[in-house]
Parts: sequence; structure tokens; C-alpha cells
Amino acid sequence: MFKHKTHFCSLVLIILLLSLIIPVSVTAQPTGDLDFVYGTNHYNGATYSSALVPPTVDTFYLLADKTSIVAAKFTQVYYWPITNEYKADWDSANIIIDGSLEIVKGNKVIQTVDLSEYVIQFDGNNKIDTTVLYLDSDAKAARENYETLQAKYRDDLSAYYNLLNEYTAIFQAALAELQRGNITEDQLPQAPPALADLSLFSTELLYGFPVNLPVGEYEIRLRLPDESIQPDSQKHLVVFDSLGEGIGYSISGEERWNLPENTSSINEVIYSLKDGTYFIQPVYQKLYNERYYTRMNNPQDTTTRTDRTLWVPFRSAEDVNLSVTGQEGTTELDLQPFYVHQILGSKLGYNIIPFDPESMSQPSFTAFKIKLENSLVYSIKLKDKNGEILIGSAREVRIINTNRTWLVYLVSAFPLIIGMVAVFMRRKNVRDIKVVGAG
Amino acid sequence: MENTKAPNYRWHAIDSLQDRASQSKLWGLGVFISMTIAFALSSILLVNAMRYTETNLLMIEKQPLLISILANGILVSLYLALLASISVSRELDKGTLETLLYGPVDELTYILGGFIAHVKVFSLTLLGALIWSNLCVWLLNLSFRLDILGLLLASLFMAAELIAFGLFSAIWGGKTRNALINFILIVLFLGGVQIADFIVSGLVQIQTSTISDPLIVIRNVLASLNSTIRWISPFSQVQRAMQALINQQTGEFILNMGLMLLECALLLVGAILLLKKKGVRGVA
Repeated sequence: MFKHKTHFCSLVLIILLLSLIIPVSVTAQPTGDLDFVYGTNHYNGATYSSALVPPTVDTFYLLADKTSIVAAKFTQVYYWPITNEYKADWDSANIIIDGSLEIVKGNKVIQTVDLSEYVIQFDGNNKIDTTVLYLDSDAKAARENYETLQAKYRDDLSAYYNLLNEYTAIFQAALAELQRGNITEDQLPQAPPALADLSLFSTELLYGFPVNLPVGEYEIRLRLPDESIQPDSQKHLVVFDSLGEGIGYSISGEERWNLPENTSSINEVIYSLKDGTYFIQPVYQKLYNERYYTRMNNPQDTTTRTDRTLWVPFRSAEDVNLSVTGQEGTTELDLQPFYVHQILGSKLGYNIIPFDPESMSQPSFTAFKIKLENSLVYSIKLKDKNGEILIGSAREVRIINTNRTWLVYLVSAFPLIIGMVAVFMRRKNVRDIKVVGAG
Repeated sequence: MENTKAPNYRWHAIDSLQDRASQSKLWGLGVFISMTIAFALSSILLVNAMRYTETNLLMIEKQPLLISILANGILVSLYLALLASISVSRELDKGTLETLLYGPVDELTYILGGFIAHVKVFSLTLLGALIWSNLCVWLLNLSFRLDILGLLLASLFMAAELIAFGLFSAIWGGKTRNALINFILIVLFLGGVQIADFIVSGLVQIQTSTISDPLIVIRNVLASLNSTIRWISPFSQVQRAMQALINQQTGEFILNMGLMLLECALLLVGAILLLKKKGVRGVA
């Protein structure tokens, strides 16, 4: 009996040891049946982003006075160990829950929002200025319009390819005539003009609760058609606004163009080196509470703090000039496109040259180029196309004297010299007193 | 009989005590050595920032002297607070305080005299710090800003709080050894939490970390601890006051300056009451 028990214990021990040795495969583990989640399609200050609010999260965040969409859904939530986050398997289940969203403030329902159809559309060439959220009948019309444009684009594309095929055949024939010397190069047929891409993007016709609230803290819950409250649907909602707006600059030295430093605040001073060439890219930016803004985009975030702020650039500034005032006067700089030309061969290196549209495909970046050579202090300001200075765009640029750093150490020794003088004087005074006393 | 406790006599006694104590500090080499060490450390920090600029081609800062002034203020005020604590506890140890209290000096006079003497010495070191800052501004072509005066004022408030704490810990500990142990342990704890929070916060960046980062737990614990001790730690208060000044957050600046002033007053009152309660012999 005892022998069997020993064998059994050994077996268990071996299994335990093997379980430690055999690597555990990382898989997405479903948590069981379908889970209730909220999904958001929220305005982020520039455009629309989406986020998942899993059952483990009890608070989520939205921007004030802008319509965002909150959708109540059943899906399969699984834990993803790589990032320690809960994710939704939308392919297995993506069920919209009917009902109405109740917004509660101080135990009082202040708003009941019905389920709406919505569509988000934007032009791919300028997403920030063109993003529009359409609701209800507008959403249907916008989606139909998009589908019409898409169908027209397909037809136009088909017609274009037919024309291109015809052109290829005609061109081949003309080329043969050219080789025979019957026609000149000028008489070769012209290719059909290229078809402009359909740059409009659209979501499908989606369902959700449009929420537009002033700054404050609320509770939300989903009231089902049978008047009951959907379990797990009660969440805390924080609605916040930006704390300020301004102009930020992304600045890089010519030798480190892809490692820029950012300045967000007007109080910041840009310290640079003499004779340095810098590229300055201006951006419009907004200031937010770090936790609120980050958790709006990722409700599962745990790294942010409420006592910090975050400048969020939302658009690069265009149609602007940079006014640079130094000791030699003021100059106005224009935004210029630049191309980064990599040096061929095994040696690393590049040249930043002005962009030439005829020989280069597209610019690497657009910036103001400034060479700091004639002054120790500069003041920079951004002006719009009307010549008005943009608020929050002023910065001071100073050339630091790096060759004088050793003098800073020398200055540190002054207290010691003063102290030694003080001690010496005191000793001298004490000696004098003794001499007088003795006399 | 002459009333030695009358305000004018009391003030005269305070003035005499502070004058004697401050003169003895200023004619010694200790304060100047501590200033030199503090300036040398501040210079290392500043030159390091300049070297960073040389490598990086750029440095964007609101006040590059902030860390240097903070480090300078903390070092000198710690030295003076330690001196204040030692001078009181030594008098208690030797019994000279008992003799003094038989004369025209009471507990309030004695504590205030010691406090003012050390704050006065610190104020003079601040004058040195102001000259040092301006020389650095001129030498390196840094931006001169009036907020340097605010930073120095915040240092003064922190020094006052630390000196008051040094006096309190001397009365509380009684013997020199106990007083020093109390003072150093509490200062190390407050400063350690602050520094650890600062380092770990810097390590855990939002952009690079995931929620599985084990440092996040440590950071959250330190942040919670720091948010609690910020109400009592002069290091946290001076750092927040300085940061608020640079970020132009007037409310936060006034709050932290007020906290330092309030705690300084509480510690002084506490030291006086404790000395009265324990008595000179009881303390020793």
C-alpha cells in the first residue's frame, strides 16, 4: 500500500515537473458565453476613433459638446495575454442590443437616447477637415450617395481600362508606323487622362446611441424594450473638454532630422547650437488631461495619471509663415517641401534637399528651414495668411555657449574662497584681540 | 522686578540669540563648504544639460536652472537643518540650555532664536545662489527669467520647514544621537519616496509600456505614497511649488507655499510646547 502511494506521489511529481518544462502555448481564451460590452466611435478632437469598453472597465471617457457614438453589443470577450487586455471577437458575435440609453446625473435620468443609424465619412486626402458623422435619415442618404459614387467609380474605371486597351492597340500600330518613318513622334497618340481615385471613405450603415453632453460626470445604463435594465450596462461616464489650444513645433537639427524635439508651451525656450540648421514644423494642438484623453481612446489603460496634462497635435499648420526676429532684423520664412536623399553605398548618411516635383516622387517632409548664424537670441512667431500672429506660437530661440561650460565649475568655487577669506579674517581678528589683551 | 517675558525684552533676547548663532555659522567654513558642494553638484547638473544639447543639437526647457536650484536648496537646507538639530540637542546634552533658561530666555525665545539664525544663514546662501544663477545665465546665454526669484523663495520656505523640523526632532529625540537618527530617517524616507517616484515615473512611459509592465504596480504604489506624503514632505512641496511656478499654475504654487509655511509654524509651535512639556531635564 505504502509502495503504491510512493509511486503515485512520484508520478504526480513527474507530471508537475513536466508541466513546468513543457512550454505553454499562448492562445486567446474566451471567457465563456456572450458578454455585454460597449463600443465607442468617439470624436477624439480631430476625427473619429473606436474603443472597446469590456465588462472589466467601469468608467469611460468622451469629449464634451461633440457627438460620439456609444453602441451596446453582445460579443465574445477574450483575454489577450500578450498585452494583458480584453479584446472582442467581433467575427464570432457582433449583436447590437435594442433599447434606449439612459444618462443619469445625480440619481435623475437627464437624457434618454434612442438607437440610431449612423455613418462616418471622410475624404482620404484631408481626413481632419472632412470627417462627418451622419445620423438617421442623413446617414442613409450619405451611405446611398457613397454607394452611388462607388458604382460610378467602378463604371468609370471600367471605361478607363477599355480606353487604355484601345489606346495600347492604337499606340502599338502608331509605333510601327513611326519605325517605318511614316509618322513623326509628335503624331503618336496621347494616353487617356488618368482617372482620379475615389477618395471618399465611408463606414457601413451602423447602429448606436449618439451621445452629446456637456462637461461633467454621469452614469449610463441600457434600458431594454421590456423596461428592465441590461445587466453590466451601468457605467460611469466622464465627459471632458480640452484645457487649452496652441501652436506646437516639431524641431529637428539637420544632422538628426528624424529625431525631432517638440515644444508645446509658449514658456518653453529652444536652446540650440551656433551655425546649426534646423527644420521647424508647426502643428495645431490641444491640451487635455492625460488620463481622460488616453482612456477615451483606450479604456483599459492603467499607465496614465490625472495630475498630468497632454498636448495632442491634431493638424499640421499650413498657409502660414514663420517670422524670425534676430539681432540683424526680422525675416519671414515660407513652408517648403524637402526631400531626404539617402547617400548610396555602405556608409550611412543623407542630404536634405529642396523637393523637386519633376524629378522626385513626393516630399519627405514640409518645414521652415532656419540657419542660426548671426544672432545669439531669436524670437519666432507664426503668422497666418492674413499676416496675423497665431496665439500661442511665439517661442524664444537661444544659442548656448557650450565652450564656456568649464567656467560654471569655476564659479562654484567662489563660496569656498569667500569662506576661507572669512576664516582668515576671523583668525586675524582673534589674534589682534589676544595681542591687545596681553598688552 | 524686571519682566523678562515682555515682548520687547523677548525680542531682544531672540535677536541676541539669533545673532550669536548666525555669526558663529557665518564665520566658520562649514556653510561655505556646503555651498561649494551644492554649487558643484548644481554645476554638474547644468553642464550635463548643456552636453546633452551638444549631442542632441537641441534642448527645449522652460527653466534649465530648475533642477540645479532645487538641488542647491535641498543640500544647503539639509545641512543647516542638521546643524540646527545638533546645536539644540548638544545644549540639551551638555545641560547648557538649563542654565540659559534660568536667565532672560524662555522656550519660545530659544526656539525662535535658533530658527531665525539658521533661516538667516540660508537667506545669505540664497543670495549666493542668485549670483551663481545669473552668472550661469550670462555665461551660457540662458534665458533670464524672473521666476528664478520665485524658485529661490520656494527654496527659502522649504529650508524654513526643514530647519523647524530639525529643531523639533532635537527636542523630540532629546539626546544628540536620537535627534539625528529621527531627523535622518524621516528625511531619508520622505526624500527616498520622492526620488523613487520620480525615477520610476520616468521609466514607465505611456508610449512604451503595456499594462503587463511590472513597474506599473511599483509606480502606482509610489505615486499613491507620494500623493499622501506630498502634504507633509517639504521636498515634494518645494518641487511642486517650483513646477507650478514654471507652469504658471498660481493656485498650485500658493497651495504648496502655504503648506510649507503652515507646517513650519506647526513644527515650531510643536517644538516650543514639547520643550515646555518635557522640561530641560526631561528632554535630556
